[in-house]
Amino acid sequence: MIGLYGNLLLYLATAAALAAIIYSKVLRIKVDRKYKYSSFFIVAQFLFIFFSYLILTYAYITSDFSLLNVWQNSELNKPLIYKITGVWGNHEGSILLWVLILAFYSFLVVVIDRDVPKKNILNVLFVQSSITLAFLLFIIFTSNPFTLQHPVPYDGVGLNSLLQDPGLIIHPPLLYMGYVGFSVVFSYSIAAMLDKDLNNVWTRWVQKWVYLSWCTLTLGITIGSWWAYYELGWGGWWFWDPVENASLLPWITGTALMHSLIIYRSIGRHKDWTLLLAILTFSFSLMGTFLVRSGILTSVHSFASDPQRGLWILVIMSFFVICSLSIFIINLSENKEKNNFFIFRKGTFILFNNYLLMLSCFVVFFGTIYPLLLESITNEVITVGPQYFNTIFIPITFFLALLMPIGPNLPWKGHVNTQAINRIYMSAILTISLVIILQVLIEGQTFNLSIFIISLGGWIIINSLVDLLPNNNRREDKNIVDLILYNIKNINIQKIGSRISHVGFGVLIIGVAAASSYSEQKEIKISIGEISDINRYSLQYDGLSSDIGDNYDDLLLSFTILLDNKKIGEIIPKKRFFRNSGDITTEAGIFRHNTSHVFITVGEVQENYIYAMISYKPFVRMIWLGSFLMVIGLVGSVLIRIQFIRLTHD
Amino acid sequence: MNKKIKRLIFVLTILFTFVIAIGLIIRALEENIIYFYSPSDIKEIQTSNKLIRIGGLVKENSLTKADKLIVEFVITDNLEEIKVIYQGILPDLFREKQGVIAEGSFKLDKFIATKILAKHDENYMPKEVYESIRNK
Repeated sequence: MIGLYGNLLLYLATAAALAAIIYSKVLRIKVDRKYKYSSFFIVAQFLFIFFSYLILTYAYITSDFSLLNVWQNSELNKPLIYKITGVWGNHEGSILLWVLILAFYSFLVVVIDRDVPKKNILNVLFVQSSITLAFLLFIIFTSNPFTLQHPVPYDGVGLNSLLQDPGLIIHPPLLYMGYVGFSVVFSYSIAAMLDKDLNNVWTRWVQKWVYLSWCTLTLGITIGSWWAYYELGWGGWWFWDPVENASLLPWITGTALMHSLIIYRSIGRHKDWTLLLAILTFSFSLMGTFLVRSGILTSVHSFASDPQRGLWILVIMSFFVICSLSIFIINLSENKEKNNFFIFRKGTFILFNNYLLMLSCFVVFFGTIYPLLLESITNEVITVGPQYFNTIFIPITFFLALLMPIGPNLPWKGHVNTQAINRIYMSAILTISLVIILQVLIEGQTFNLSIFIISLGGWIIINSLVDLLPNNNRREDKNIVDLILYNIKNINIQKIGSRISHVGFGVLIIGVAAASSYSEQKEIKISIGEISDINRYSLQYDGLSSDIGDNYDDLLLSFTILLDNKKIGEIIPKKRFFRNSGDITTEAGIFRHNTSHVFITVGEVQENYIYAMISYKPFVRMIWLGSFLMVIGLVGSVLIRIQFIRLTHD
Repeated sequence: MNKKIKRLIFVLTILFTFVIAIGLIIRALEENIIYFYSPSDIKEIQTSNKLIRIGGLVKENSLTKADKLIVEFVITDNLEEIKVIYQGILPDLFREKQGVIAEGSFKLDKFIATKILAKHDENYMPKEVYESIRNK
């Protein structure tokens, strides 16, 4: 029965999506009626998909193995939270989640964007529903989660053991919120081109969607990296794996888009470029979906490798990419923008940012797609080593970091004010002294490239903070405490958000550079009672114990961590044995100390001794901290702006 | 006039850096390509000292462990075999008779692996391995 309801709802959703397409664009009726009907169908379509998703979740919770999908990916003894989130731990369910989020965004557009003129919003809904329709058909024809089986087995096959982890609860929904959120930006861009009337108001409509998508995408990627770090990666946080790259591409173009929107919003320039970025970003989201879902890549993300599915997504992707690019080329604005060109302008620096980001985007794209192309043409199988990405990203990051804090200080037009110049000098002097101090303290005579990158991070942070000082901070104040208090009280609030985001990027690159070059690790064989040293820490292996979970048994390996012969804590890495599948997973033991991690993963376990990998990772926490700061800064800047608008209205 | 020249210089600089960047990218890519071979391919190809990947099945009863975390095992595609030496901890999913990829290089006729990649779950085999076995 459940399969029948689920299918029925999917068909109804398809019909609603089709109706929304017809009412929003095809029919020749009054705009108000068009809007009334199509928004009705958008809401209906969302509800249908939502209920079909609920039905699938219900089948997972009640372990209804009459559904093939539930049987393949669930089992009776699984903890409830992984029954609920296990819905998206497989191909069919995760595509349904993808469409659910897509429909949810369309729904949000109808609810939130009421102040957008009906004429414009209809085109948005048209594009949005076309995407939904394509993916609904994809689900129905190739990836239906409601396929029945008979006879009904007693127990299910179970979820891929690596996925039974808190990471599964938040990583996929956040990542999809980001991926799919850019569909709204895409729809708005297509709509603007179809309307042929694009003015600065348009940026106000799309900006919130760009911000929302960018924040969730950043969080999704960050949490994915953290998950890989402790579960799969034996302490690596980024592998330049094609699937990771697929999520990085829309992130890079999304970041470029966020910045070019600022130019367009402020001085109304580079409109075409902004539109192109919007199209590219969603195209990369689709490409990510294609790469991951088609099974042409080997990864923990590729649940199924059915070539037919890959072909479908490739067709959907090509259709939307080709159509949107054609519309873009046809509508390239004919009236040349006035070009008064100056280098030291905010706009020019944002273009530098875009240039560098697009270059890094190309690097990632090329390195990801090249092996696939080569294999399909020559049948030769290759992998692009991580060194390729690292070598190129260092110079790109160098220029990006160098220019990053200067740009925001520059004016849109007119002369660069002397205060801004002084502040740049001031930060430069501070940074150069920082480089010298670091070089002497840490490295002594030898030169290390990472010191350079760390200082660049410092340059961004210092510059961004100096920039927050109030414009008039040269009070003739004799009391230094008063002067500092004055400066803090009158901090430039409107700038806080974006500067925190920039500081976050600085923190991130410091973390990456420092963790990459100062990490220590070794593989050891250790007996009970024995001590092994790493950096300043001593690790003593105390023995093993066991624990029973819902569908797994844990083997706990206890370590005591000592610093200067004093106990500062315990680390308990685990080996997890899944009863049903027989899989073994390694749960790393992590001890947090300031910005560092002491990290233990266990290999083979014997009664008296174990093999383990122990590592010391200084500054590694700054990588995730930096990413979170970028998001916090953006959220903060939005909240502050809303507050300002409210104040000026009162 | 002055503005136009300034603009020209700017565009040329951008183009110039772009060309250099592309050159560097292609060079970096060429230097960091890791080729994948099956044990049968290896017999035909001279690849000493170059970083490569070898994929196939772990031969039954071929895993031997010496002390100091050194393991030896044989990768086979049911036609040819390659002996692999690896120092370190094997991944959880490393099992005999199942798919594996070893990354490393030949040193004096021995394949010294620096990285061992095992499949992600039991229904799944690295695609390269699957194809290298299927084609034999």
